[in-house]
Amino acid sequence: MQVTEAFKHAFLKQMLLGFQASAVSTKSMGFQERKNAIKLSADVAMAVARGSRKWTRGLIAGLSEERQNRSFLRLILGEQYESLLKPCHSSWKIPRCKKIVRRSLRVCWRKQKKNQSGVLARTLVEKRTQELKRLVPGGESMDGSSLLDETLDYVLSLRAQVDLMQSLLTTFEASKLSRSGWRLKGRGKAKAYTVVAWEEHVLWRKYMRRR
Amino acid sequence: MWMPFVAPLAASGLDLRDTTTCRSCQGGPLPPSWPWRVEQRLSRSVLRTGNNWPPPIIRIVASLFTPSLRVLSLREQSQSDAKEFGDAGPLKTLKGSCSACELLSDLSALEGQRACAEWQQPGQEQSDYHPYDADYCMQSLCPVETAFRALHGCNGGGENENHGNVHGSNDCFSNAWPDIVSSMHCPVVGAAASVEETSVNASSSSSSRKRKSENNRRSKENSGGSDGKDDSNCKRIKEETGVGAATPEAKRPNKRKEESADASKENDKAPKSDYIHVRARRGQATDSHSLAERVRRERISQRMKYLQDLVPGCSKITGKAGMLDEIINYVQSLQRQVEFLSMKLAAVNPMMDINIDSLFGGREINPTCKSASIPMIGMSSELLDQSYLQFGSLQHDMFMGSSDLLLRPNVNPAAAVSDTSLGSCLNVNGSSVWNTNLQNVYGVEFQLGRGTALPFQSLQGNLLPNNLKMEM
Repeated sequence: MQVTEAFKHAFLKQMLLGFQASAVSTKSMGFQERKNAIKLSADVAMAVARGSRKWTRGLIAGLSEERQNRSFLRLILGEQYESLLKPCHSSWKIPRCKKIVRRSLRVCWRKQKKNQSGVLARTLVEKRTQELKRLVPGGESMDGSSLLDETLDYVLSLRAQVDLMQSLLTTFEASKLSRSGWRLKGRGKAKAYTVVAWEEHVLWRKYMRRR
Repeated sequence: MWMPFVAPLAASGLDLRDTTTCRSCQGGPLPPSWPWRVEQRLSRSVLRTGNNWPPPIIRIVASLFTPSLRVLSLREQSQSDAKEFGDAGPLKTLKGSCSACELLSDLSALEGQRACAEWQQPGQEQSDYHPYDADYCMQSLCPVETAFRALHGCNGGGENENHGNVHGSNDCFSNAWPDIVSSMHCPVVGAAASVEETSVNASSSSSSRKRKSENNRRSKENSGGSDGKDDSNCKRIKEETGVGAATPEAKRPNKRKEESADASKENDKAPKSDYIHVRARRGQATDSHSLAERVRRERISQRMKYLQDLVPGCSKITGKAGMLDEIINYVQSLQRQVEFLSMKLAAVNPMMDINIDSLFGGREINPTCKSASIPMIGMSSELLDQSYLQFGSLQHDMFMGSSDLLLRPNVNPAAAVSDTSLGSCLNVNGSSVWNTNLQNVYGVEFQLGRGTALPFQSLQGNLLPNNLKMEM
């Protein structure tokens, strides 16, 4: 997957639509609420912009598990919402014939008898694969190679999401600065900058403490 | 006549005669093993096929083998690792066996000329024998094939040339068996050409990659051969003279060749078969389980390579577990970044007093209708163009104006619509350039946002010192 212009366009557009839908701009929301709403709309925008992949479906399914999100999702996605939710992602299992599974296990077992040295490495890899499955949305129902595929995709989209949110942030902040610094000159502008920076710093500290 | 053939070998410093002594070259006893064994195999094959080949033809065929194998072994040594042929017992003895030397003298001058021509074109040799470096199992193939391949490859010839040369050489043989030999040549040459193609393919792509067209091509070549009988003869010969260590390998391609020859028509008609053909590597098990496993493993390793390029700082790490560790860390950090940024956006927003409704002109949300929303965004930037022409860059306009626009609810929708303006605002080139346009305007402020270009680890670290800087 390549991060194309079209993808970024769609992403930004969806994000702004989501902001509008969740009405983050109104002052009535609390800080946490607003943050959750922003995050939700960002995630949905990412999933919608990417299209139909395993992780996008898993992501939307995961988001829709919480009731408060469902109305928002229904609003944003429209009729796609129901179609996306039809197969419940948690119950997705790769259909496996028992005979074949047993036979392959026997072969693997016979091989393991010969090769005991790789056991430790294999358990490590398996542990990490499990963890990765937890991280990537919809990852539980994937096998090794497709998991890596989806991880690749997901990482690219996450990066694009981070870039987009940062650019939005800078846009908003700079515009705010310009507004406040409109009348200020020289030192005044510096003051305005410092105000913003200080607020950011406070936020940062709060965030880090929580971590 | 064959001295020029031998001389370059000596000149290259390789001693081919270390294991054996050659009658014509040095004058000594021949190893009883090789030629006899070949002859035995050949006779066995002759008996099996039921063809009554005159005994002399066996020697001729053996002689055909010899120069190729000698050439082969030399090239191997000159090229890269000889381990491809290292454990080939018979081949080692072949190096010195020159019982064929006397026979070679009986053969046509054409072959000798060809061989000499080869040696004069080392450059081509290199390119021709590059496939030997690949894991591709060449040993299973008929040595005659390789000889022809080499010879014809040097001439840069396609199949037609090969055929032309072959037919030309027929003059040299006595009339007793021109038909058989020529017909033997044809499928061999056909197979040789196909082998050449496939080996070139192997060099270009990894040998174990699944290839469907390979089989089709080979089947076409085989079906292009004159006689089905001779085809099978040739295959049997290949089998018999294939080196012992690689017999399973020999059987696999042969089996596939037979299958493809049988199903050649089907293959030609339906090139998109459901079967995935995998070539077995040399010295590895060839049962379906291990092949499938190997294919799966290679797929996974390929994906891991992509991920290695993607995740910063992973170039030094080898091994699945470490790589997976890094990937997990990266994904976790990206997710944390998203959360942090959403928090910051939440903090910024109310102070911003954003009126997004105005931005969208109060239109209803219709996400499926893409064209509806993008024009809105484009429109806003266009308006800003008109209202803030004093500022230089378009991006600056959009950016400045957006804040004002957000505050001012009256928006007159412009006629023209272009979302390229938005695109230019937000992204010029590459994925890391969301903010370059804004960078011109707000240098200091941009320190905060420049984390896009920086690796993820340092993003959060960067913010703090920037803030501190500004506090002073």
